[in-house]
Amino acid sequence: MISVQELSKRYGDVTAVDSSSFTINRGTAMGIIGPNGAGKTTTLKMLTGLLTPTNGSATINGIPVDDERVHEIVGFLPEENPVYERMTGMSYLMFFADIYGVPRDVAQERVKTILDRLDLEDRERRIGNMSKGMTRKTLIARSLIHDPEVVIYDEPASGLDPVTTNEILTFISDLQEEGKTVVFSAHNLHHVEQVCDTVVMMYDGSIVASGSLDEIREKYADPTYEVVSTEPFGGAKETKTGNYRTSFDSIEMVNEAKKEISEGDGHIISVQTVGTTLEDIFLSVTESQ
Amino acid sequence: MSQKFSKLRRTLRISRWEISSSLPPLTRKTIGITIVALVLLTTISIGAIAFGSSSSEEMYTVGVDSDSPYYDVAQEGEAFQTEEPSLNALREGEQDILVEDDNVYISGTERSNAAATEFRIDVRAHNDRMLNEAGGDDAAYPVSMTIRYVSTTDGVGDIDSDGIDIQEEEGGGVTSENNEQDDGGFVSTIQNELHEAFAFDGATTANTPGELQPPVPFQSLILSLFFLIPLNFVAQAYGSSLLRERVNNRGEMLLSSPATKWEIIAGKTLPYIIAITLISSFVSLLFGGGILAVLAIVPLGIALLAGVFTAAMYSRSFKELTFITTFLSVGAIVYAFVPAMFTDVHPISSISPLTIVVQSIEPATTVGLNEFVFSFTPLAVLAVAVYALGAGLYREEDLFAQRSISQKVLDSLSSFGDNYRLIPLSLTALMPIVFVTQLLLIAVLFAVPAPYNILALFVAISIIEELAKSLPIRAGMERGIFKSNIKTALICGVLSGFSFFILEKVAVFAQIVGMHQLEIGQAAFHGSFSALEVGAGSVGLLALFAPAVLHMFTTSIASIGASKTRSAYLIAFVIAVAVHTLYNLTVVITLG
Repeated sequence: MISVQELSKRYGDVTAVDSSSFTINRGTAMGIIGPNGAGKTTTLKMLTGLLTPTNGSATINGIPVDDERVHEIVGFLPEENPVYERMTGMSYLMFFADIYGVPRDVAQERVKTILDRLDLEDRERRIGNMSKGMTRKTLIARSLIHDPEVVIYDEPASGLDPVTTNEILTFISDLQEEGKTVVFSAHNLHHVEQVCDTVVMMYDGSIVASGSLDEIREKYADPTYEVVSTEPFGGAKETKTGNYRTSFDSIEMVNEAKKEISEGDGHIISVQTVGTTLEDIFLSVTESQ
Repeated sequence: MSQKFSKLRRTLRISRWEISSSLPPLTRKTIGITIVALVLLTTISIGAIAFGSSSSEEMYTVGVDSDSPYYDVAQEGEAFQTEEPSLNALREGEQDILVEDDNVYISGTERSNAAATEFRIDVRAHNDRMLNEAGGDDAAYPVSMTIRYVSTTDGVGDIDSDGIDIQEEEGGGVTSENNEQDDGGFVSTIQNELHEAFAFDGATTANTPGELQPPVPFQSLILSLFFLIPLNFVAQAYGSSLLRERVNNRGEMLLSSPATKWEIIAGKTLPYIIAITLISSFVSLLFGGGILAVLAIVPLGIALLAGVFTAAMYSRSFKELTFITTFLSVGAIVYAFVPAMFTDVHPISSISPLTIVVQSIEPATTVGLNEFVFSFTPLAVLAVAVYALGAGLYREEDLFAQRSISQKVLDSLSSFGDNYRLIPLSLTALMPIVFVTQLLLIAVLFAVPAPYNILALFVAISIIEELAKSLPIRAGMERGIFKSNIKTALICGVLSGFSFFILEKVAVFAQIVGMHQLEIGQAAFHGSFSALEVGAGSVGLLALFAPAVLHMFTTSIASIGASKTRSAYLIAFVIAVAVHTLYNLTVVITLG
């Protein structure tokens, strides 16, 4: 579990992060969203132990983030690609495997598995000659070389083509399903919606909203709920597949519809929010600040 | 144990990676270039050694009887050939030194003076050798030398009836007569030097280089070339490697790994220390030096690496780094070369590690432990202190931040603490820099005639000391560690001044080689020396604590300025420097 209490970071007169508090349960995925300068990267770097908080505290699985042991349980992917261009992908990964004290044979097997899953073929190519997507995948592999319990990714799919983006987001989603705790920041809120259970919205160094995606939507959005069932209900219209679909303005109306459908012979196929994305919510929240 | 092993393993792994990433790929071309470079270096070295030894071979002529105790000295000395003594030959310039009745005569020409200096060195070496061979506690120096001045035929000064200005020697061969000029313009102060060399009674007087006229320091020049130039190449490569870590946040991945910043710094530095050691050993081997020569040069190399490391932490670009490293390289060369010119001539030479190298190569000379310690210690302590300054910036917050050098200096100083401890801790790191800078100033200003060198030194030292005392305060004020008000400024000023006073006392080890016997050395370290030399009583206490009061007072002035704007700090700093300089001048004028 990651526990953050009143975490602050100041650079002289500038407050980058102001008294942030949140909790991330073990094995869940949390997204941090916000515009440039909101404090996302600073928060992530404090969690990895790279930056020393000015005030407050944070622990990862009970270990304070300023403890050196945190580096052994966290895998970090920075926003930029800080690589040694003259090294090949494989030598770069093996170098860090040595730094993390991973035995050679274990490291080789682990690298092979990760890069296979990420579909990175040309592993002996110099990193300087790799595409941005390949470099990103190499860095993701580096973050997992020591099989960390927690992965902290800063804009993992920023600036990548849609195919590579999807590969990486799917991979991150799989990591969470495998039991790793995932924290990542993103500009593209769709990325967060695709992977995360919970979200923290930051603006100007402060957290302006946080919670599960459903909680956020319920609290800040004005959603329309689209209900699809096997039997007709209310004013539902039949779809091409023979099901019935209609929309409601409140969750209470959805619940009444569920009750009506279940009392008949049908069942609910899906309930989805439409019309209000996380981006819409984020814009409405930040505009109110 | 296993954790320590992990740290060592990581450090060595980083070193291995540093070597592989810094070296060019091993191709036929690089192997060929390396072989050619090595062959060229060896050829040039052998040529230089041959030229160095032949350039001075039998260049001076000594007129000496074979039964004179000086005969063996002249025979053994490479620079001398012997002839039957002849006053006319001395007058005509055919002989450079004349030995008559155990007295040594020179004509006063530049050549003759230089021959005397060289002869004196050989006499000292001869004496040392004889003493070492004698071994007994009551062994005495078997040879003494007394110089008399005569005029040349080109007619400067008077010549007495027999043409020689002979003064009767009193005592056992060691003269201490007045050295007023009595020979029509010949610089008689050389007698002081010779007296200093042979008297060993503690009543030495030091002179400026213009008066010393040391022999051409060919050996020091060659050694400077072969020892120091490769060091600069290594230092440049080191600086580039460090700065590359800062570009594009490359170093961030290592910082986020279990490797601590000390492991990273050590890992990245170790290959360059090894390179310096190997190069120094190779050059030492070429010149016939031993392990002592390597041990003397390596601290200078590490100090240079430390300076380059901190420069790489301060620089925003390769251009800035090149500017600073060039400045540091020149400083290192001056520090090593200028004092080494006076090897075997003057105690000032003890500052330089090259002196140790020269002495270790000379078969007849033994290097004293105190000389080695004095050469080794300041550089070793300096290296540690400068690394501490730079390492404060080896963290995420500073490593990738693009700030001006002045702001980086304040950042590195403020990294020493987040309360009043910042002041004594950062001063402890700055003190070796202050001390070595003062030694460098002594070495450089030594060549300037008195009293201008003393005056220049007073101003320079005041600037350096006031800067060292006030910068940590300014850093604390700017970074919000200290409150910007008068009360805090005064507390900081007193604390910094007193801390500096205490740390300055540590610098008293300058006494080891008699630096305080130099007029210019006294000027630089007067505070420390006076504290040692004064006795008990009110005058002693005054002399002991007056520098403390001075430091606290001047630092408080600068501190009040530092608590306000940059302009206010600058004005207050200038006032503090002026007060400090006036105090020094007053002390010197009052106490003589």
